[in-house]
Amino acid sequence: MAEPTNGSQIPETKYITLVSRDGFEFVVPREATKISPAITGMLDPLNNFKEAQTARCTFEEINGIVLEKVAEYFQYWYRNKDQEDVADLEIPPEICLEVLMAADFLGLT
Amino acid sequence: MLAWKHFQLQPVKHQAKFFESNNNQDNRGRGHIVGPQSALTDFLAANNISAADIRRDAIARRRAAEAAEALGAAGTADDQLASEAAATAAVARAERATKAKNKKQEEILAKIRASKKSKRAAKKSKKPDSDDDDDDYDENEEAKRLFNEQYAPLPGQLEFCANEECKKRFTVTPYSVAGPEGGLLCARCGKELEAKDGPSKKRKRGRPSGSGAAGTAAKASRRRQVQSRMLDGISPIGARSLIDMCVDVLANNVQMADDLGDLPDAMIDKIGRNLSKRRQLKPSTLPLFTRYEADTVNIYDCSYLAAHDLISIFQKCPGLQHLRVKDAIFFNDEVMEYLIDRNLELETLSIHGANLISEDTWAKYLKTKGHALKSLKVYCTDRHFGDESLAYVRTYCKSLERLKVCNNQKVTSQGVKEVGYMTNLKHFGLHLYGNEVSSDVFVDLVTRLGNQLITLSLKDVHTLDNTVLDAIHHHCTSLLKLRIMGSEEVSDPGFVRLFSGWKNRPLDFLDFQKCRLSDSVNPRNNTNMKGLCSDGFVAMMENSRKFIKHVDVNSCRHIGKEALEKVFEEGIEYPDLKMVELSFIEAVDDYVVGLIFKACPKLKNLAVFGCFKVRDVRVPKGRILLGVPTAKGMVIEGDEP
Repeated sequence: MAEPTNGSQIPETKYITLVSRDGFEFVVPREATKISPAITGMLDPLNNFKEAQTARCTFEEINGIVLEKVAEYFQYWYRNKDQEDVADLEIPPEICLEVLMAADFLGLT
Repeated sequence: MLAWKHFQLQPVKHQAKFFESNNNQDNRGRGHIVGPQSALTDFLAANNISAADIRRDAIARRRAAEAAEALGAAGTADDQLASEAAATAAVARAERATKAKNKKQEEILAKIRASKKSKRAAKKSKKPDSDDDDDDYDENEEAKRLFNEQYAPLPGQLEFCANEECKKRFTVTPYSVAGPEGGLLCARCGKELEAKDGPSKKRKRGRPSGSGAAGTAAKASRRRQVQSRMLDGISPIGARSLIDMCVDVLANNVQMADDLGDLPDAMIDKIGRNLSKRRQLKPSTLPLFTRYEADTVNIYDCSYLAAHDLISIFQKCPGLQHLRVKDAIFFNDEVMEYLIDRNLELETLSIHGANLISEDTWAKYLKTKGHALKSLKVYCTDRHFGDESLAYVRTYCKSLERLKVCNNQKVTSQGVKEVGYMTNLKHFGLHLYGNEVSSDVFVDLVTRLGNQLITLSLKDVHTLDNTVLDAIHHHCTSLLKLRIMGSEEVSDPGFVRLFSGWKNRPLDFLDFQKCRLSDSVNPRNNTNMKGLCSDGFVAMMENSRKFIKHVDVNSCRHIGKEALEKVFEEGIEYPDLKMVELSFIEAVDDYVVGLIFKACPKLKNLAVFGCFKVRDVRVPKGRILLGVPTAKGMVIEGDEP
């Protein structure tokens, strides 16, 4: 049996930090990022990634404006989890292609 | 006046002549001869409305207007005198009409005031000690407001503009704006008022809109949207995915996009589907999908694309290998010839609605490029792409693994026989119109290809019988997907034999929809066990329990309740089952639906259209129950599994 990993010894924090390529940081509830399998995988202590220990995920491919929208979506998804007939999130057409790319990367299908 | 007399008398004389012989005993026009009266004339007379008066007034108004014009211009003194007299008469008449109208209005206002007063008095008598705080209550104002609301002219009526300076006559519409002093304004004054004050609240007519018609319409529209999303497989609870929302925004603003950049193929496909659904795939948006490096191009709606647009796909994508075009009406000989001439060798060609390609061109294409084809799907070609083309496919497409011929009226038994000789074929789908193919041909096909077939889909082969099922049982060992749809000759024992002791691995896709007795006189009396019935259903589900993902037994109405309960009884689990279609099976009820949700942990969609015993079932969150026959629809409870 393998030794327990470092990650599993660290207690799970309630919030995590998402960092964009240009250094913007967004603090979001851990629960709200459960919709993204990519982030869930990064934060899973069993995978023994650095992100699981520091609760900080840095995305070198995503810039601040786009990551802000993604963080907003996490919040929006979490808030409306049990709601019926939810109005769509407003996405400016200028950044929609980049948000789409980020959403695909994070697995927000 | 003479001219008018002439005008009025002429028709009466004419009528008199015409009806003299028949109506000379009529009492209504004693003294002079009149024609017969219509019901309308009687009605107008009974209501004291005289057509002659209306006509006289109209003529007087017209004359007054002419006179006024004549006054302006230089005219003779006599003319002026005459027209002045006429004008004075018209004005007097108009004044009389206005006075009558005002009098009527005053009467109604008085009535409203009186009723208000009596109501207030009643209120006071109930609470005698309450202060009379309505001293400054302007009852005239209130009465006027009520009058304007209740007696405002209806759309279509004529009304004078309430603006003192305008007074123009106009037709009232539902959009006519009320003036600040009451009454309605004409279109121009209304616009001026709105420009000055900003858009006013919508004028209410009749009942208030919040709880009334507008509210109900909005609710209905929302409900329809939810139902539409459910049919698309999207749960009505929770937020939509970010990808879907982005694709929607993109489709809404597609004119702003020059290029989709390096988006992954799956995303480009989603955008393509969304644009096609909105009928926005036009020559202007086509370049988004024909990128230089693309090896796959899926155009789901080519109805706006002409032949040269379709040719541009081959020009812009030199590495194209997989092409799917739907509604490709203009994919004609010219486009096909271009494809033949280019140095392109498609591995996949899926073409829908291209009935302008002649047999000769198909033959040419298959001869020159057929060797590279691995998948060929031809849909909706009417009387084109027939047996000869299938013979060419057999001869020249040696590496073909997937063949689908759908909605075709030309292929006959001969063509289906050719398919039996395609040595590498693994997936075969057929949907013919008109030409019946006998079961022997399919038995022969299955005997030849059985051990390599992974997909077999035969739609609407009405004469297909148990011999084909037996052949499948004996020869097919690698099938994953089996569809036999709309066959009325197969029977329950045939299905039981097929699924009992079959060497084939468990299937993951089963579709036997509409395999049932179709006797409209005696639908319940199925003594010969035609179609898929209880035993066949049990055998089929037992055989495929491990891997089954999709089950469609729509309209197999002879599957009984015991069979359904046995298949989904507690303790049995279908670990991968995602989609179940049980529409129009009478025996399905709340209990069965509950059992299905318990037995299938991954179930996404369950369709029960036309199952009227499904009344009040609780649907676990994350699942979708389609077609609940009650107005309440699907009721969700609990958390996601």
